[in-house]
Amino acid sequence: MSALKRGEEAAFELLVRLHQHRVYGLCLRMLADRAEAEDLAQEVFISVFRNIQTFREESLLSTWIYRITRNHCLNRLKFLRRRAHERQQPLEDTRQADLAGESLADPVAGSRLQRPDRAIEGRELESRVLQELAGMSEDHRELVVLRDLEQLTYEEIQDITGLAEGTVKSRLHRARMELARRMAPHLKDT
Amino acid sequence: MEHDTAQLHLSELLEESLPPELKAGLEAHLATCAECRDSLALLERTLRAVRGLPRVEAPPQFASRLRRRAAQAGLLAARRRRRQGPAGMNFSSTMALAVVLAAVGALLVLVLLMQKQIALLVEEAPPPVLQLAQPAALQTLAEASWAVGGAVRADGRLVPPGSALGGASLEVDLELPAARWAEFRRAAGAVAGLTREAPRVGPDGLVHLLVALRPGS
Ligand SMILES: [Zn+2]
Repeated sequence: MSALKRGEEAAFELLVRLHQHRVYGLCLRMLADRAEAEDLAQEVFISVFRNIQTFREESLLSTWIYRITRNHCLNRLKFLRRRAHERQQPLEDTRQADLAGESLADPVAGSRLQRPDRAIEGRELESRVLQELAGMSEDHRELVVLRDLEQLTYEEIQDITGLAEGTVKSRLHRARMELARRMAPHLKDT
Repeated sequence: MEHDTAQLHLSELLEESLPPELKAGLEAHLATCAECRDSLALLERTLRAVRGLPRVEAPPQFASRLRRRAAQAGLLAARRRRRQGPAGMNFSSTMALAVVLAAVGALLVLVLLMQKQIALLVEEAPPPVLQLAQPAALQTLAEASWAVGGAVRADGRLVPPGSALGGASLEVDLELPAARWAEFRRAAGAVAGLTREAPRVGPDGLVHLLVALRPGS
């Protein structure tokens, strides 16, 4: 930690190695766009490098980095929405395209899509979950991502979002119920 | 327990965080309410699907691109390791021993660092570089990339589709879906130096192409 605060390059390299996947993962799940997610994840680390002096050791370094990541994600989503609005192109369009690129491009999965009555599995199920997740509101999506994907504790989630414990739990439950409703048509007989 | 209340506690039942009295009340309600049983089953399947999503990994070039960007922002140069040399010591035998130990330690650290550097080099083999002299050719490549759903980064920063690239000397990263290489080449038209086959495809299914604009080269 002190090496980080002294600004040692090796310490930053290590920090990036340790946290790059989770920071990128959080950005990707929030933005549902690979290129934007990488760009944003890099901005997060630049911001971490710049602000390491303000980090107080009463919280975990990982939690602090997550908090920065979450704030960057929300700002970027706001920015992307504004840009999409100016270009009169719904944000969902580019998102769906990117998610499709991730796994729906699989021709086998594509043919199975013709039969929505059939229970889906594997890669197709994954891409459905991602699509439905991307379609939810940000405040619902982030809680599902933090708790059910990143498997953080409630204490960590409160620290990252600044929400009270009761709010985290009740909002997370509503978010999960919403996701379940969205997934219902794809989850028959699994 | 009432139906509406029961609906609010389904997550806690699955997370096993419900106090015993509430749990008993909820289970009693579940025994009589098919709708709540269905909700619970659907919630459980949904959470299983979410938790079963594969872990995401950052792209292989993430660290090297970040390093470039941090250096450009003046972050790494200013933060070079400080050298700490003890001044004016009195050499006793214990001090000499300490110096020897420190030297061995420093050597170990150096070896470890070198190994790490080597590992980084192996992990992040640089993408092929295309040298261009004309800014217009660079713009053509960027537009061809956007046309096939690729990403364009100028000096490490993501360039929004449709932007005009400019500047005296630029390094531009193109990141393209490998499957659309032929389409990209057609859109790029007469830009020299593009191979028929896609260059090495990364584990993420993407092709990385580094384009350097050197006006007058
Ligand atoms: Zn009920």
